Amino acid sequence: MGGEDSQILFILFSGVFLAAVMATFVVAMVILHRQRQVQNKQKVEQLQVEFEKTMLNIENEIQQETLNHIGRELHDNIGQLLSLSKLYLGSSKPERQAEGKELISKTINEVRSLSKSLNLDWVENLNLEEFIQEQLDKIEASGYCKTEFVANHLHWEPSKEQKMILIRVIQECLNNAIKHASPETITITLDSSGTEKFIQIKDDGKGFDSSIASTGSGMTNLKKRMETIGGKFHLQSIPGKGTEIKLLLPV
Amino acid sequence: MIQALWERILSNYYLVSTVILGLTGVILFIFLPRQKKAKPQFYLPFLILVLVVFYEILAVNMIVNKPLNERIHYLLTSDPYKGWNSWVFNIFNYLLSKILFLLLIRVNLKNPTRRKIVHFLIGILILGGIVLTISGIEKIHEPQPIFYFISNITLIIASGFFFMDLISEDYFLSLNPVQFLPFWYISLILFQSVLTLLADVAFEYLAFNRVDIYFLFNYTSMILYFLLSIVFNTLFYLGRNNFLKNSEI
Repeated sequence: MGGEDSQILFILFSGVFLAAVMATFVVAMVILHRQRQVQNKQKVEQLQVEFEKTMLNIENEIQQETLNHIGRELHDNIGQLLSLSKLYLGSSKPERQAEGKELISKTINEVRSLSKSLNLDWVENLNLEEFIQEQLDKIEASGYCKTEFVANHLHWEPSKEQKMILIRVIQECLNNAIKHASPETITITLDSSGTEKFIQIKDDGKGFDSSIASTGSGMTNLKKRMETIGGKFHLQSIPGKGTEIKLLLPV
Repeated sequence: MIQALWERILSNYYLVSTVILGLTGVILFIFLPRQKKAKPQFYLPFLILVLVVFYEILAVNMIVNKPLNERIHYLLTSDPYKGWNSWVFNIFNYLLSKILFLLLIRVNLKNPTRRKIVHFLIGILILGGIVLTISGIEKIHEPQPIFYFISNITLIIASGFFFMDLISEDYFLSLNPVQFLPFWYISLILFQSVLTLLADVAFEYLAFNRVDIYFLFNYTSMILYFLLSIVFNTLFYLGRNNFLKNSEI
């Protein structure tokens, strides 16, 4: 009887013990979940701060570039148009004066289009494909190297923030290629693979050993910038075989 | 015979509550939108409710309708008939309902590896039941403690996976577990499996020597199933997995 009682006691004790263990387990899981939520919230806040900082830097860079562009336009284009207009309008010949008036109208249009680039609203209406084509055209017009653009019509409309970052990253990659690689051809491909869209910037220049960690902050910055919009930055380069950069963004 | 069945059902509070909650669940499920009915998050709890009502009534019927029980007994085995209805629970409770519970837990898992393991556990459960019965190690018309152990352990492991998912998968980061209905029903499944594991493994000893202790575990299990039925009914009533009104989950 004593043995039977101890067996019963053991079963009851085991039941209570197991129930207590399970209750502790469930409560512990809820606490761990809550802790993870708090950690995640902090991480999201940190990422948000980082994102805002990156966007501010990008805006500053684009504005700086825009001011440089406006400066060049005022000096090389509008300044010339106004000087010519002044000359024509001062002429006694009526046809010259008419030409002067036409030049004034042209100048007004130039100033209007220039004023539009002063704020960043143009980024919203910017088409990424057109922007890339424009950048490549500029490189080709300068006679630096040949360019190629392959766009598989993706009907991709990134957000304004994504566009701003992509603009700067693409410009930086092209600048690096021009400055350091001395390529014969730069090729940009806009395509998608699985659940990602990607922009591939490839050159057949000098290349470098990408397995050796870079001492500069350029590549790290580009990588960080892509990460702030949920993207990835992949670089592959072999000495003498050019460089391939892939900017990936989830759809 | 039917009168005796009714009397037997009405004299058992657990059976009455199971039938009432089962019927409420069926009605609430009928009123769910068609696209929700097609989702396993809803149709699996529905199948569980229906199955439990079915086998509980069948088990009572097998006690009342002895000739039918005997006929089925001799269809299943050639061993002498003892008047037990264990085969009902062995097939419908410990095999079919546990498979449905495992599938329900699997639906709530987000980690692909853990989902695969639950598939594997279902395989083990089915294979274990077949091997133990066919080999004669455990008879279908008698208590099957080894099989009860396997079925409860698979459920405990699968429930544990849900909690692991809860603390590791990003999907669960945005939700409050206390307002998440799968959290409640999986917790209840876990508690029920742990408590019945002891009672089931020690079934023969308790049922024949200490019925009071066996019933203590059994009543606890019944209360947990009663709560589980309420959670399933709430799920059908809300039409979503979450108490929050604006939740898409």
